[in-house]
Amino acid sequence: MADSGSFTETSITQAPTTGPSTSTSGQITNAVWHSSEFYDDAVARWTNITREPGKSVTDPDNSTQGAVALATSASRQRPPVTAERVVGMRKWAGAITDISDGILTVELAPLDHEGPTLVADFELALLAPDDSYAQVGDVVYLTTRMVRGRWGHLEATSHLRLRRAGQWSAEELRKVLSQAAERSKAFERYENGPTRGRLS
Amino acid sequence: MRTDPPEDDCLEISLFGPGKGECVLIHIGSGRWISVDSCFDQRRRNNPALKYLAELEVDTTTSMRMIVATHAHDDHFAGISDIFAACPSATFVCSSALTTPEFFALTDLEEQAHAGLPIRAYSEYRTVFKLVEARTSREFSPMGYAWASKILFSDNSGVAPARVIALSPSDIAFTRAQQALAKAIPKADDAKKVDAIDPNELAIALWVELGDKVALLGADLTPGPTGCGWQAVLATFSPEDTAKVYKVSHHGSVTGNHPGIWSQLLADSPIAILTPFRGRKLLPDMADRRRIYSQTSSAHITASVNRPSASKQVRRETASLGPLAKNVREPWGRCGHVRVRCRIGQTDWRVERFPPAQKL
Repeated sequence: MADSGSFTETSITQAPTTGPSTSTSGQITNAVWHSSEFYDDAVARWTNITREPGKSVTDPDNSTQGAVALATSASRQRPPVTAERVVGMRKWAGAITDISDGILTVELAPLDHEGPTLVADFELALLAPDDSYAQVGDVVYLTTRMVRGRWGHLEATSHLRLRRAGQWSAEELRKVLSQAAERSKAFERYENGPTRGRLS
Repeated sequence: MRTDPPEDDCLEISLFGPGKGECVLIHIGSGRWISVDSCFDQRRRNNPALKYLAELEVDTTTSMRMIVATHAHDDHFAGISDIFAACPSATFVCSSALTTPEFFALTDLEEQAHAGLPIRAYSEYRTVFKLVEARTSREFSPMGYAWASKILFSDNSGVAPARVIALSPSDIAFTRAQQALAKAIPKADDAKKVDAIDPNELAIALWVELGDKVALLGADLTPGPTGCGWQAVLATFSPEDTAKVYKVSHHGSVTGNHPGIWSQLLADSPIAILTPFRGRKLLPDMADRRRIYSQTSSAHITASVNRPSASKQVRRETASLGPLAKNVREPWGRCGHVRVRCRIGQTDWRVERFPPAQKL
């Protein structure tokens, strides 16, 4: 299935972080994603860039040159100091299928792109301050961002949070239960007799 | 050849399963088909049962007579609404326990609680219910309910009498289900979520007959508790013949086994077919294999119990998840196919395994 990651670039105004940081909601969100075999590929996909064979990434005719250079120039020359920018973001949602030994297991499905459903483990502490409320069946969101740092380097940040969906109101429940009773009554007509087939 | 259709007098049991999920297709003679549960092939992005029927050039709009959802667990109903949508002449059958207002309410509440999210335990049922409401037929009912000893399908018009009997759920299991479903309905000011309720004791086990050929499909039925599961089946069901093919209950786990299944319902050394379950625990485990092989030398599984190596697509997605996600895995993998066929009056059952299916 083709990826459909979209390009987004958003300025971050605060100073760059130098270690694990805390988001406004209190979760641990920051971790440097060291280069891996998928690093270049991930950058290209997140920024929606296709490299053409034989074409220089600094080709002035290449409209995507800035972003590609971003992905490849860090090791060649130090770029000028700039503000941090988010150059890619992806989101997943998933239901908690298990919580044990401080680990929660989640079945994650992509929210904003095409991709396979995956199962992953997370430290329960990442849901702080909601970690004590998390239960099997609850929904969590995982957001990852690719951030271009002030010195042109790339970092991936991740953020896991528990969905706070509010509470059922008496009116909501009354309405649903009333409709369900009607539907159940309508389906009573299917209860009798052999289901299929002819007896000869 | 996988694409060779079964003869009119042939009973075929085709079992499909990736690492998590299962579907059974039954050819019950004379071009009539029955589907039991459903699974999805995440690698190939298709429904393996519908794909197979298309390969056999089966007209699903007329040939599919019944679609049975044995129980409401996601490894058994993924994509079942797609099968029902493709088979307008089929009757959809589920447990009588799912006819209560409470179950309908839970499906609707879940739709609200998970609006906009790709997380829906009961979404397949909601889609099926909408299709049922849209279908009216004077010739047959678009929906039916199963309970212990109910004849779901009976047709003497083909080459041989064909019959499908539900062996479960028992009355006690039904009562327990009603209580569990009622308890699961949230109250005002409760957190906005819905717990998926459908214990395996409510699963529909099926007895399939075509002439002298008999198969037992065990779904995920549990041994008990008292008055439920296999205990109840063995206490109330006494077949004239024994089954030669057994779709092993609950992925071969001890939690789906009862010694009476093998001694009372199955022929000596039956053909055992099953699907793996790659959850927190991998099923069947070594003890399960030993137990199955103590009863038969012919045991076949649709895919390896072990988790498969990640595809390129999975590796890319895993890399995108970032550093917080640990032990990332894709439990489904490729979907395998075990096919068992035998013609009426013959004694040689032919077992075929299509990769990644293998001997247990």
